[in-house]
Amino acid sequence: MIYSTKKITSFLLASLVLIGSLIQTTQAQRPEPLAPDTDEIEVLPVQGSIHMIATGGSNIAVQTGEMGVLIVDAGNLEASENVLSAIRGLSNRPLSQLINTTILPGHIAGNQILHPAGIGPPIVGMPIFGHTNGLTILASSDLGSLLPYEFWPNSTFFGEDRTLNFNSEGIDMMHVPAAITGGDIMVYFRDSDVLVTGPMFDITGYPKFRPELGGSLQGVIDGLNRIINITIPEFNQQGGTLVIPGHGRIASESDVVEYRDMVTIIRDRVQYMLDEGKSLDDVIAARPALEYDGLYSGESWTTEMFLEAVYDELR
Amino acid sequence: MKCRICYCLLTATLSLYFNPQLLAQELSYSEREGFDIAGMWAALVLEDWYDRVPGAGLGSYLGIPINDAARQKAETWDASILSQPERQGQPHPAQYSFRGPRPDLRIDRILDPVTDQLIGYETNGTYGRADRTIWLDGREHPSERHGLHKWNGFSTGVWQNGVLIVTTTHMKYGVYQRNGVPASPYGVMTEFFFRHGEYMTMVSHIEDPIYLEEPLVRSQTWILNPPQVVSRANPFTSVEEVAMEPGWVPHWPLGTMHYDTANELGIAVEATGGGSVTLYPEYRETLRLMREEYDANLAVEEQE
Repeated sequence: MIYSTKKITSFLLASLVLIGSLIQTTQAQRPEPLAPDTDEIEVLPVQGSIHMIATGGSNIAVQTGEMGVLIVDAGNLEASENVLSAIRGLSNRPLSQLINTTILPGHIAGNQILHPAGIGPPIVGMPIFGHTNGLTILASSDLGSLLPYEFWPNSTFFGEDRTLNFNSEGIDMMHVPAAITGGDIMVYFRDSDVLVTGPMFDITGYPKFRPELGGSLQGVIDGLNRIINITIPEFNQQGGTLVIPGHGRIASESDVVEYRDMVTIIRDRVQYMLDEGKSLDDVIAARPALEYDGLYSGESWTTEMFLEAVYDELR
Repeated sequence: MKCRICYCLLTATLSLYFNPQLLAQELSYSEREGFDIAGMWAALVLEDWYDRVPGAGLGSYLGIPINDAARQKAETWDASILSQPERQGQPHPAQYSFRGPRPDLRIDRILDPVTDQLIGYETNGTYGRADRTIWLDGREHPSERHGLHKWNGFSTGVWQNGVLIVTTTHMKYGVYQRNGVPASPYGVMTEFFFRHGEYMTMVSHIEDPIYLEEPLVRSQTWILNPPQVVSRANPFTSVEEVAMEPGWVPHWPLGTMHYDTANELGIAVEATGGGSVTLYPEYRETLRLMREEYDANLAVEEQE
């Protein structure tokens, strides 16, 4: 095989001149998340019997089958009519089960539209599953006033998990202690191999844990490690178990790993500075999240807010 | 024997004559232009050899227009992180997989099973089975907001003026180099494949709104090598390399600076730290001054 450096160099130079006229790139940008109050939605197939409906309030998972439709989270109220239409487009079977992964308004406000559209026993109507801690938080905080009582979770569990078989698929609802709130759960569809994480994994921003609602940074980290423990990639650290985050794009294990590493590294850095006696201002000035700001800092939950929350928990 | 050859030729001719589909089949643009990237390609690592084969050393970001955020990520990146069980199966991401080590490529055609039209290419031979698919049938890229990202991203190609232009989106959070220089999942990579006789060059142009100050442009060249064998190796699997607690995330402390490359080259660490200013010829004067200062300091140290 014969080749010459001169020949390749001249070819390269000619090529570089030519491509100057050909560059018409797609715009590279971090996509703006859907606004929390928009009625806009997006429907995507995930795998198995699961679809994802993205809303500004939260992502929604929809499982369809002969027995009916099971829905995980309900999104924001403004998008609910569109969500209902989209579900009708996926299945003409009855809406039979609703699961709330948390009690944050963006995840449960849509209960007001989806619950009446479902079937269930008289008076109670369609079951709304959730963790009892969430129900307690709703009853004891201002959040409860945002949603009429009849749309609160009406089928709750106290323990670590609760299982359900629907459409011939095993479904595991797992409590994630003290994560974004004290009443969060994840939902795992065994046959479809899809995990719905609730708010704990929000690929569009830093974790917005709420200590006043029983949430904590360490709970988020523990929960993310639990996701990594559950998910099994198929090939090349991707595929296999797919993950529907609280907000943002469909993910696989490696996306959760990046997110877990980010939260852990920032936690460690802030802890180190705290051990050295640094103040919150010192911590913010040191920019311990600089490399993640472009990925996760948002208008409503800025880097400074996140660092302050981390600092407050660790001190 | 002669008779058998004649029989075969006659059969082949008749098959073509009575199979109008084969004769009337519309040639794809690549075939009309005589340009096809399918085949066995041996990498010619005559440029950037150090970065591509042994791999750039710690703190060497030369020629990469990284910003401060990327530099902080790279400086605090600890190679031990690749020992995490959940990272051991990672292939090289699309942003890097055609850069190194080498790689020799096998590029296969993907044909429509019904029409036999060329609808894409699949590339093999990259580290960790970072196989890529380049769709040529005009399909749309997945949802920008909610589509799944993959190590190989989602690539579509078109021919323009004799150049195959491949646009890749939906890549995972990866690296531009094997020493921790980060690549965000929101980058867009445009690759230009040229064929010049037996040579094929690909120039990649990556825009990254999170980690690059300006587009990163790099080129790679291969030579056609039909006897080469590039098999589909087994993908990586995780093993227990070291005992660690679940959730172990190794990283260097904030403020770490790697002087390895700067010391090796005898220049200031600012020069090895990359950034767009270091890409242009004017920076040679800055480098010259840095070298003078370095030598002067060294001389003082030796006298002491």
